[in-house]
Amino acid sequence: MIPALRIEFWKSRRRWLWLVCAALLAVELLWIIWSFHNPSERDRQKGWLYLLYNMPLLNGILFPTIGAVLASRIADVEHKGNTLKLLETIQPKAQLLHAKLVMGFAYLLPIAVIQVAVLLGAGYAVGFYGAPNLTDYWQYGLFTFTSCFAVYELHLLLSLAVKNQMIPLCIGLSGSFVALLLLFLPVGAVRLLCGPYGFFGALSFIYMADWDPDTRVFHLIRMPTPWGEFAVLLAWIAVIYIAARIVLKRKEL
Amino acid sequence: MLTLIETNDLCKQYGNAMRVNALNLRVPEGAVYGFLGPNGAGKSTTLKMVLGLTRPTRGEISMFGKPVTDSSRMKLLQNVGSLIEAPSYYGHLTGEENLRIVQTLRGRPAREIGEVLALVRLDGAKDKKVAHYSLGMKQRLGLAAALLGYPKLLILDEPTNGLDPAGIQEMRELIRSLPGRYGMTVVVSSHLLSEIDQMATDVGIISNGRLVFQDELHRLHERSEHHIAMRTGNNALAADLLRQNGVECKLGEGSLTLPPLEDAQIGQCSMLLCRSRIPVLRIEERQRSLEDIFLDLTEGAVSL
Repeated sequence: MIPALRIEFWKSRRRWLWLVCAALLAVELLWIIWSFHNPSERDRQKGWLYLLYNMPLLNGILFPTIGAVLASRIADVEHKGNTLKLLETIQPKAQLLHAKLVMGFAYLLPIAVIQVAVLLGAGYAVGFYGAPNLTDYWQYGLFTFTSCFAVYELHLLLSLAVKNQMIPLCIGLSGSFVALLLLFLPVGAVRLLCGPYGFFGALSFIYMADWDPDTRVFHLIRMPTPWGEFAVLLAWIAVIYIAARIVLKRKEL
Repeated sequence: MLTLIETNDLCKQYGNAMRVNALNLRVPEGAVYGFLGPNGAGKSTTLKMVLGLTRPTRGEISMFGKPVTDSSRMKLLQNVGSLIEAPSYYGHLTGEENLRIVQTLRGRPAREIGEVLALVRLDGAKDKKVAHYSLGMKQRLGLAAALLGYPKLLILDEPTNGLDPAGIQEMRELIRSLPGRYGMTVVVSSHLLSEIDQMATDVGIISNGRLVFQDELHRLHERSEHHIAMRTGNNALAADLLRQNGVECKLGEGSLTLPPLEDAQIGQCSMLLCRSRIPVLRIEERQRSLEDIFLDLTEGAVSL
């Protein structure tokens, strides 16, 4: 497995995959700068919770597209040069899938870690009152990473199964809209069953209450950690993995 | 002699079309096996099934005397190099980097990269991105990847596609030399009879998914029906006269067809006809060309 993983990174040379990940972080950093460039007293009071309330929304809108691009760039190298015909005679299909999943893991984990670090750094830089609840932030990091990984896994399956990469990319774009739409629905069966896209919102544990449109005053409440929803997401990851194994096994070249 | 590839009643059906039909392939060890057939005859599909890239609808495949199953496939393929249809490559990597991928996955020493690059005469372009290679260079790179690890069995599907005439000749010579130099058995498919005639020791001819001929190449040549054609001033009379004198002959269009005869017998026939005042206009030694045999076997559906 180690040589296969080494080869996967070797294949990604000159593919600028990190740039795709950096794009996500850059947009989110710009949003933070725009939101807090002139912070009010209220912003400083609610800052730590406000970040955790808004970031899942941003991730939900951005990551389905970013994940689709990342998965496509990792899978497309095999379609472009007809390399699956060669690889399948020297490497088990499952090993190729595992290597590409680990590759995605290796790109997505830093995204989650850097994102949490950026949020904490931004909070201190802006001067939010009090100290952040680190449990909230590591749970946010865990949920962000897992949601991103599930989306990436789904798109890796699509990108490996379909030669025309416009199809998974269009599905990724649609996923962004689905994720946005699902944010307006209460957490429930529909939200959990619409694929991994809805989990950015479903795993958010900061809830907005008492929104007054006239004064624009609202409260942010820390809800219990949604471990049940997290378990459903893990089940999605398992289902997509099994689907990927079956699709690759049946795929004829 | 060990049979390196053996298929029994191998079939592949796509929809209602049976692309490969009850194929019984036998590839002997040490051979250059020419797998010949018109475009769309089922050559690539057969080779893909042998390599496990496509699942057979029915039938069995053995390699190195062992049945190919889901569990044994990868182990058996450790001794097989392949180049199927278009060459496989990563365009954004250099030729050498492409081969490093195959070398690492095959667990071979790094020095073999340089060796196979030299073998296919691509060592001068090893640092160039493959996206900038010509089709012929990509084909050579594909062959180099197949040669990495010096496998016991090499399966090449139309390897001369995209090569210039000099490259084709070079590729043929290389393929011909592989059994002697490295003890490899080579299966090479082509729709060009002349190509197989120049490279192969054994030949299998497939037409419409069926194997219509399989044997050593010289057996195919033996089917060439060597005969003598004779044109005279009166062919009908000459035929009667020759038959009366015990010479088998057939009256054809504009000539008589005689079996292969010794020079002395031909001389006697000629004398006999002259004595009967039938002028002998032309005597020719004729042979059915390999193309004719091939066209017969494949019912005319062949590129020559």
